[in-house]
Amino acid sequence: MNSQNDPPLLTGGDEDQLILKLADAYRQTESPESEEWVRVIAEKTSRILTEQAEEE
Amino acid sequence: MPNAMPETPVSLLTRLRDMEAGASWESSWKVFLELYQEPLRIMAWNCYRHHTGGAAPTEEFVADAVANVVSDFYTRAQYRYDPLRGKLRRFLKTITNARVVDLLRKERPLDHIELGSYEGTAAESEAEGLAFQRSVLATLVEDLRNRIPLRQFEVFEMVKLKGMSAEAAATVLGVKRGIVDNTIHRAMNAVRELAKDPVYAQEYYP
Repeated sequence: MNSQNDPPLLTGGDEDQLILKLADAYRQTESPESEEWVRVIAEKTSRILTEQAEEE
Repeated sequence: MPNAMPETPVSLLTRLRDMEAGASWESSWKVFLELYQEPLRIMAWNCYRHHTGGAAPTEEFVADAVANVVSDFYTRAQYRYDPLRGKLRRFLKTITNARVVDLLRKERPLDHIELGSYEGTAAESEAEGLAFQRSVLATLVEDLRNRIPLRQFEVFEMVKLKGMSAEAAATVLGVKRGIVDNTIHRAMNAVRELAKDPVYAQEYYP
């Protein structure tokens, strides 16, 4: 369950740390490997959604 | 007198978690796919290994499983996420496990594959958790992109996300160093505001 005690993502002096993590996450989503996976899965998802729409 | 103060935009993660009100997310499932495909792929991989006694799935199988999860997430009412019942990560794991079992039953019709619930080993859970945390942070970056002026985001992207020096960014953009510094300052204010949103912390921490 979501905890009310979770600290915010940015507290006090850990701003540099957060930026490093954001940069890491950004690089991951922008990487060629990720983009290729997204392309392949998007094609499959589009096909599934189209088939579902036709069935309805 | 009308209220002149603009409403605070609702974060992408909040809209993602609020599927009933999240029509804009529904129409942009590709954004969800871009941001969350990594943890979903790891979950699908782990679920496959669990149900097959350690066999490795093909990339095709993993892609099919994730595609089914994404389409389920956006089209089937029974898969609506309820934040009061648990974290988004657990919800996605439950759907992923179900879709992997569906596909496995087609792939191995003679095997008796039980759905059951599946938690995974500590190592698997850690890998999924780290990937999911990256997705939450990538969602924050996407939120930032949508919240601040494009030029401001581009400067933030060059310096803070891609690691270019402020001096080099100023040269590339043909502006004074002070303008880059001021732009970064404003973008960082927006990052601080976004990072205060408790929804991010709730989904980021295990």
